[in-house]
Amino acid sequence: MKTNDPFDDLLSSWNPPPNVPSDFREQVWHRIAATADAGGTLVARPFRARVAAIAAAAVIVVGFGLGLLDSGSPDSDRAAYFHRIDPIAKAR
Amino acid sequence: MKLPSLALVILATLVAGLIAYFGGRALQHPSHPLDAKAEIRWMRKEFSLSEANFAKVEALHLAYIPRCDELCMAVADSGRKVRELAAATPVMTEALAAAIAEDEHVRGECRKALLAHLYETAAAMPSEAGQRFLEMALPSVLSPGHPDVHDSVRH
Repeated sequence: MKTNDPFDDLLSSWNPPPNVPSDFREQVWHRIAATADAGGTLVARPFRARVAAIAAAAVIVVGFGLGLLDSGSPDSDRAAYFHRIDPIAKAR
Repeated sequence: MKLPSLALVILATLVAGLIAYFGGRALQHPSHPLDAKAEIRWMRKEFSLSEANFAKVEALHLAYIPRCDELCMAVADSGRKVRELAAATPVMTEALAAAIAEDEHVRGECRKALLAHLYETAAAMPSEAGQRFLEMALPSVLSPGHPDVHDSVRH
């Protein structure tokens, strides 16, 4: 929208000098690379550690539970018992 | 987290999981040969034994195991003697015949001891459970040393 305000022409002609270092772009990429090497942002790192700890605990708990369930084979317990009380079988 | 350390954490977690698995397995199913009480734990559920019945069965088992081990060593010795004498001579000798007779005698003692223990154990259970126990157990006494007998117990 044209307002005929004299400041419009002044603003249009205003061209401020760039105030950034010449290697600005390179510095940005360096910082991104450094952050990625460090394992993400400062917020993401503790979060990942928590997730890893929970996953590790889950694996251990599930492993322990499977061990408890797997061991309860009555057939093998029975066979082990009858082998245990038979001196001839044990001597073989 | 860098890639090598991530792989290390995953590996350590898997190892810990495996250790937990075998820990749980060992806890539920002690396989130590000296853990005589654990060997009969399955019977409580299998034969629906009361605390009193199970205590009797357990006491009988614990009392029998030393005798069983003793007989086991005796039969192993007599069998070894037969094998050694048989290998040392091309003909039947008196010593070999005596060793065979001794081996048969020891094996007979083993069968008698085992059978007596099974009858005592069955008697410590309720009647129906004791009968079922004997049906399950007797093949191992009636066919001693048969390799399939203990496998047949599984079925």
